[in-house]
Amino acid sequence: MSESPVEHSAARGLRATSRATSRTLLAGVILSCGLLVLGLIKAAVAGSVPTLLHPAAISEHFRGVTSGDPVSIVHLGLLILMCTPIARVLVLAIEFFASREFSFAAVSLCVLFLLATGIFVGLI
Amino acid sequence: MPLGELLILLCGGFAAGLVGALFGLGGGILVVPLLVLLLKLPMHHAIATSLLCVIATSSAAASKNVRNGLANVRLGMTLELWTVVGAMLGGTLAGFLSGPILMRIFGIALAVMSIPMSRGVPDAEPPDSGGTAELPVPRTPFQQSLDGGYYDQAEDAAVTYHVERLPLAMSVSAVAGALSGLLGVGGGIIKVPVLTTFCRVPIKAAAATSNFMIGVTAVASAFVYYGRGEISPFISAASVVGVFGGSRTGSHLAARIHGHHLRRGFALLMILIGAQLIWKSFGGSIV
Repeated sequence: MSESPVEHSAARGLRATSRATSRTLLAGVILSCGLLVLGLIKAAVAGSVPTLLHPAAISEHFRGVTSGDPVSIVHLGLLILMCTPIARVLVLAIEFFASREFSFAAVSLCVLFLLATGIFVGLI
Repeated sequence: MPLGELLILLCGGFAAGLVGALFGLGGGILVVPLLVLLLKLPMHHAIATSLLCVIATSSAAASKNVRNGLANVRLGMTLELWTVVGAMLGGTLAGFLSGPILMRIFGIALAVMSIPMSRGVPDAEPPDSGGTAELPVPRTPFQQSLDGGYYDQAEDAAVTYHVERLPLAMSVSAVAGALSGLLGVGGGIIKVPVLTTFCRVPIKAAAATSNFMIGVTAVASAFVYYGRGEISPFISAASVVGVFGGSRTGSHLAARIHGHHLRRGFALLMILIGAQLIWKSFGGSIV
């Protein structure tokens, strides 16, 4: 049985989705681990590795990164790590829309909404 | 924190990730006991750290499984709706429970999870070529769109499968998500057996799809812990780096080592660790 134009388009879209999703995940993990390693090395070299810290405002961490503060570098690495799966969901939502799989695009948006709600509730 | 402790975290995390990958588990099951029993970290902080480790290992593995088609992305997204809700509830509930209570729950969960670990996960019946005639229950177009397929390199054959009992998979996903948020584990040890045994998903696809979902599940509750100030940045960083390295090494070794010989020994280890956590929760000290 030959593939219908819709099925062919969906299959091509899914391959593109797979590549974009895969790259998003890998890039997020590599970037976050790189920052974590950098922050750990800087803290170890400075001879000061804090154990427990209260979270500061995210804007403070961005300022701290530019000054090379290891605490801020580690915080940024952890935030990027936590945002990596969220970015993956967003990429999938976009790709499902592009391949006209609207039901799964809606599912992805629902997941994003739930995650955003959780982040909002967790951070206020 | 002394640098020696940092080194212990890196090495311990590596070992947890390595062993977890060899037995198809995330690092959470071993990271939480490591942090609580060895480093005396508060239980909530240990759970938060474990969730971050789960995100790292899951994301790295999922990038490969999505690319090679093993992970059923549509099924994963559908079930994620339920795991995310469960995880948020679990993470919120953890805030109302004391550390000792969580230790006891974790200890009991380890003992329960050791049972399927000792037996191994049975595969679904041999996948068919994708025909629908034998399916007894009419399915909606949405359910049909969840069917999947992949190329099995070991068998040198294309494998297709139909997903059955979707409501059951959704229910189990919500429970697995709640456990993930409550205890800092990935939840795959619950989801994979259900997907293979009841939903007729081949084990490779079930494990890959479960792994695909775990990252989002962990994130849902990780922010809850972050907001409560229960993420220790440097302890989390060292654990994540260690577990990530260990799991990557373990996944390469897993193809060469037959884990079923070690499965019962690891199940026994899980029971022992669970017993130690319960003992500690009642004020006992670890000798």
